[in-house]
Amino acid sequence: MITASHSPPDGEGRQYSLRTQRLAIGALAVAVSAASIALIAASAPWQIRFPFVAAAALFGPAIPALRLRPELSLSQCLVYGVGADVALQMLAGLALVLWHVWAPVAVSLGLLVITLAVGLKLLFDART
Amino acid sequence: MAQARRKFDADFREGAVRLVRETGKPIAQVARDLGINGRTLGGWVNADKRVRANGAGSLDEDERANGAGSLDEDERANGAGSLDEDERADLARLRRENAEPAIEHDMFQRLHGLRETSTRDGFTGTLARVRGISGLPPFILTLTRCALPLAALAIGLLSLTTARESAVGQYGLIQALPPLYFVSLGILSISFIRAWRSPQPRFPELILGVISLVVLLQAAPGIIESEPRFQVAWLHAGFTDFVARTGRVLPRLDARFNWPSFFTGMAFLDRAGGLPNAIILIRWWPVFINLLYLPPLYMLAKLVLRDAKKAMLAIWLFPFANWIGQDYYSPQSVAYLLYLVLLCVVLGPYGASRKAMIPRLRRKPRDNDTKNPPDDWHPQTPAHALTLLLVMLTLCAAMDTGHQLTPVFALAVVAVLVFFGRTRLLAWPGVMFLLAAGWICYGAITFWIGHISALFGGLGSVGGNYTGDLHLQLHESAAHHQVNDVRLLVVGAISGLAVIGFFAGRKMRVDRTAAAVMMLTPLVTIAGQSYGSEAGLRGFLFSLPGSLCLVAMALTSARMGLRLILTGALTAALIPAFLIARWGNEIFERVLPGEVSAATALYRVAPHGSTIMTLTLPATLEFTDIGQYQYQSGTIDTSASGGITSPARLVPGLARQLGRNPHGGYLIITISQLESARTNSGVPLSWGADVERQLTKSPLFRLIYSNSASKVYQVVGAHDYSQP
Repeated sequence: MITASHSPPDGEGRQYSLRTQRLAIGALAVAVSAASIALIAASAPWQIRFPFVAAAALFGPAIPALRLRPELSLSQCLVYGVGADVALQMLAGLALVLWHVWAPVAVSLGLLVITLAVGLKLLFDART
Repeated sequence: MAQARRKFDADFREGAVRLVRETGKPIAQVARDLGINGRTLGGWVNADKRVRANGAGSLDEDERANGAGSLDEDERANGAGSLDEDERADLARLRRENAEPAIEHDMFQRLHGLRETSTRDGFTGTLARVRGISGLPPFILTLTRCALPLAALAIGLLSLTTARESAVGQYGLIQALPPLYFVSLGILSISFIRAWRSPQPRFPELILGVISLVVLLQAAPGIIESEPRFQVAWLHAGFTDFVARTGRVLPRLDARFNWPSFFTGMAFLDRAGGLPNAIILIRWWPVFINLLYLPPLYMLAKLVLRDAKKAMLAIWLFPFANWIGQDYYSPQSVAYLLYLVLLCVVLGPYGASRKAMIPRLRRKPRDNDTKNPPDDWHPQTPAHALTLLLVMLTLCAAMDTGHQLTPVFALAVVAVLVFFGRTRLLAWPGVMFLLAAGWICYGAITFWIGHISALFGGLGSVGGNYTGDLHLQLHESAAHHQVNDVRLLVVGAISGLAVIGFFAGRKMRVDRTAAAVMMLTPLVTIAGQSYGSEAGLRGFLFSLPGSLCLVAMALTSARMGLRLILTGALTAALIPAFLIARWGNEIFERVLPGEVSAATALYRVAPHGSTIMTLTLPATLEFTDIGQYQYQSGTIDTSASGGITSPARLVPGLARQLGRNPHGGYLIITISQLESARTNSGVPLSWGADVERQLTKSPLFRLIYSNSASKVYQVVGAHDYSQP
């Protein structure tokens, strides 16, 4: 009797799909984080800066970091990643308040650098 | 529903098998994508494996029964019947090899929802040819199909720009909405149902339909109203700005600062993004957060319903059913997102162990049991498990420190899912409890000490906890009574259909236990907690993921024709019902420009430390200078034997209260306050006018600011009242 179990995934097809996803997510992570870092460094007006920083905060570092794990599907990476990124922003802000070190721009830059690094790692992994 | 047996040619079968083999997707998913039976595809995959293992081979009885038997018919038609066994195998192999490019092309088309372009599938193929669309490239065809929801969205948004805010009345925003807006919602609904009834999933169209629906429903007040709506959202923006400016929280000022991670997170983001203040965010926040809810809701629905189309139906209903209005700029809105994502992990990679915690609830697995996710959904390596653990810990930590109530619902739902064996995370409820209790004992100690009665006062008052926020009071206006009736009707319809769905889902490949747990647990959990008289509303909000899955089961259990009629009828009923239930209080929940101007003028003149009093709630205040003023809200007593307090008696009392503060006292009266008093307490608008006349005449007050929406009075002779 046939059940809804999986057939063993074909290595080549899955690898191709994973490579494509890593390439897309990595490129996006690098683009939004690099743009956000540049806009923060340039003290750009909030009308330009905020959309990029908010997009980068929503997208990274969790989504690209989760895509490093081959076991997770793309939808799992995106859904869990958005949840984890939102939670991470909340906890980062809370930690700064609790430790009386209110330096949100510096810590945000740190998170953006992590996103950038993970994005670059994804791009590197996708190429090799 | 029984389907007519269809025949598939060898090219199609081979392409489908290759899709399974090369993409690694589950058989069930590929079968759904192609619109064929999972068992049939499973038969083909098994046959292919055997052929590959043996080089070639004939098909056995089972395979023929599963639809593979038509190969023989094809071969006979091609004259292959006279060949011996080896020759037939070689012929089949050569034919497959030669046909590969064509199969790939065919499968590519099918994967993009273009089954109609294929000539192999009787009815739909014929339909497509008759419509003359078979020649279009996939991308263009997808765009063509998406034109309808896009057009509906454009029409709806444009129509909203013509709406008049002044038309908002006792039934709320619906009175201000132009007819074209309803037409756009109708087009959108027809477009969705048309795409949904297609045997081939047309996901771009379905997804666009749901996104357009969320935007049309949630953006309406943002476009029509001059100022961002809802006074509490302004207050939360003020809290965020305070944290962003000072890097501190004030747990003694407001209970919400005891669970501050929403405000700290938003302040963190605001500073990084250079935002001047958080008020900028609140107008479009409901649109944004409702769009963020869709992916986890879809994932959750798909985990429960095991079918992408049914899951799409569940999330199509969500924007209509979510009339509660907790998605404004608030800790609850974000905590709900975290709750949904947490459930996706709990029921996804760790889903359905089938080990109920008490033996008699254990169900023996059947051979053909497909309710449980395939094994490779579960964590496969320690690193995989660690990744998921980190995600869950992050979600729970943010939830526990961000909102009072959400962790309670999350803990209860996960614990009951464990109890019924729907998740393998047996110890996770304990971890969640420790995290929540840890924060209460550390971060929320100020609240904990001062609010024991608030936390446990609701125990035993089950009825009061459910109905507290429905404002079912004797003095409410007739219109408000009808708005509440509509709300109850929506709750009743969703709950009734969910019950039907639970029984209808018996013969479906769905996890109705998980759906029922997600629906019922929040409703039971809030029975013991009043939560400021909002318990029933919150319970309904948290029960929605489960109840909508059950509603989708109910609707899809009917025959296709009836299913479409029911879905269409439910959508048609929910459109006006949502607009009344959700925006029915807009007459006093909206924020008028005059009210903001009055509050801004008040903050300019009132010295820090002074008292600011409102005649009644709501009030658009505290969006700036948090912690610098003392706030008081007057209450209108309608239960006194003499009826409503007369203005002549009220005014000296207000002066006494305000005069006790040596820094000064101010009274602000707005149209929203008077409308709220009329709607909720049956106080006539003339009473407000009388109070204003009395204040103007009284030597105890001085009018310092006035516009069409608000008046601000300053109490005079404060020092006299401050004397002991």
